[in-house]
Amino acid sequence: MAKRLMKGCEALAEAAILAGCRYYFGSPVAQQAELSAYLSKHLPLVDGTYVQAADEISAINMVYGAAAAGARVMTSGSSTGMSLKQEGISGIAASELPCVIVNTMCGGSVAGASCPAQADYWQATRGGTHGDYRNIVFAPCSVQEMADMTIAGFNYADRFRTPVLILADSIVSQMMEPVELPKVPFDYDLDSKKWALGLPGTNKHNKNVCASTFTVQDELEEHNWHLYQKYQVIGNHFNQENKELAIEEYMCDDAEIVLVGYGIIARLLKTVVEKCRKRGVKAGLARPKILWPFPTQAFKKLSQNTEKFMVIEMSCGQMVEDVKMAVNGAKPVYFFGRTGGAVPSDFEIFNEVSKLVCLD
Amino acid sequence: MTMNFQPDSVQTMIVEAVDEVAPKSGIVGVAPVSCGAFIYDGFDFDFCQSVPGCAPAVASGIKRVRPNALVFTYQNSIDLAAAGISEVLHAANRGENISVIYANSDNSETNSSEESRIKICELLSGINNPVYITRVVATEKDNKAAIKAIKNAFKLQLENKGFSFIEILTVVGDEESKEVKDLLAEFPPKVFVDKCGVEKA
Repeated sequence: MAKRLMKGCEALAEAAILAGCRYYFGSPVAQQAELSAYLSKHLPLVDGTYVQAADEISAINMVYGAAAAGARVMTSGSSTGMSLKQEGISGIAASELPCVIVNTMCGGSVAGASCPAQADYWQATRGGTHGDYRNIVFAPCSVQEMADMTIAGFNYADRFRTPVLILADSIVSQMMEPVELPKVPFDYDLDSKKWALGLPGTNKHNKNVCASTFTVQDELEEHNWHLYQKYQVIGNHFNQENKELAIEEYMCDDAEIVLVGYGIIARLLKTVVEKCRKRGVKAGLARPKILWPFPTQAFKKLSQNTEKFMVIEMSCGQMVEDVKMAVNGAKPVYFFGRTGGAVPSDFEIFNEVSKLVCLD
Repeated sequence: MTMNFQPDSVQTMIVEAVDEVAPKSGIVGVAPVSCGAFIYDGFDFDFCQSVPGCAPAVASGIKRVRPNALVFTYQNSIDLAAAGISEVLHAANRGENISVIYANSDNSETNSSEESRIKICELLSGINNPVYITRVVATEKDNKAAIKAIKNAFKLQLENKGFSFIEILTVVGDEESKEVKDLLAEFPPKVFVDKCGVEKA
């Protein structure tokens, strides 16, 4: 299959169209302006709808409506916008509606800064706002994965009736690489979801209701436990049935130190692992490809053979907590991070690793 | 349509208007927050809850996917005129082909809220895209004007004309009282925008 040279956010946009997404609601931001530009040009060519919303709150609530009506629908934002979307995402998750949400993370709180960061890990993996809910979170590290994980995201969103987040950073979003896209677009049937609102021929005596508010305490608790059980099924799927989707391991079999990172950082870590190996240090890389559910089982297994872990993030340390929980004290877990838009160099990371191991 | 509402309620007026318009390809209502969130229990068609104030955005998403369905929001003042004032303005500005029904029942000295004093009809009239904006009064004795306005809005939507906004000022008590007269002087019932001439039809 022929490869195309594309930007990460453009590959994601094209993959969404191939996956049957025909509705996009969002507002353009610098880290992913090309995503909006691509969809505004290409969605109308497939009878799709692109709406530039006045703000992120409007956008996520239009997603809410379109998902409730049975469509494959997407929105995107960049950190600040994601915070504005959170109440809507909570409602979508609690109402069990499928959609794909893209976050190209930038640095800082509030308005932040237009620079790459990984400071939204907690927001993405802990639900994001009030309520007992989670979202499936994919973490692409290449343009190819921006496409592949978007297609998988739509499929998993429908399969589990839940929002799926693509947690990228502005480097992966902006960089260009060759990408291979599936030739045959997914043939999506808009009327296939029998729970959807406004289906033709459902005027009377057959009503569907999309709701997440309950006044009776027992009903709310029952609903929350129902969501919890679904999240357990999702956790088992990625930890046991489909492990290869959840984590990439590189030279971990004999590793005395396992470096851990996701997204663009993992690509730097591969270089660091190779540098370490040249200096006689048995290093390996564990890259979570799915951040929630976290690949806990894989880390438990790794902790049986390695001596220590080092987590590297573009934040003050967020995913490191999940690694510590997974390893559960069996082995020491160290951390190195840069934040506020700073990207660590492979040299810098290598220096940090060298403090923990004996170099030849 | 099945209904379980009080005879003089706005919900009952919606039911009557739906019955008269009789859409053939689906009906979806979007509920507000607070006690109105559960109005779907009384209707016999699809309903969607929404987060505070965001019913017009949710309705926009539904309508974009289901262009042939009748899609409306039912909102009270705390939902539409407080948290949701941005959403109704922007749905109107986009000219979404939806109907927004605003039940403003908090507008009296004994039962008032700060947001209910905002003149939403006047505010929306400054936007070019709405096709029909009207404020009507509904009392315990007379709700004909309200039912007619809702029906007009629904018909316009089914004819793909665009965004409609109906404010229903529900007046409880003595219509001849100074309180009610002052209220109607400040919030005059009138047609603000009628681009398709439905009032004359």
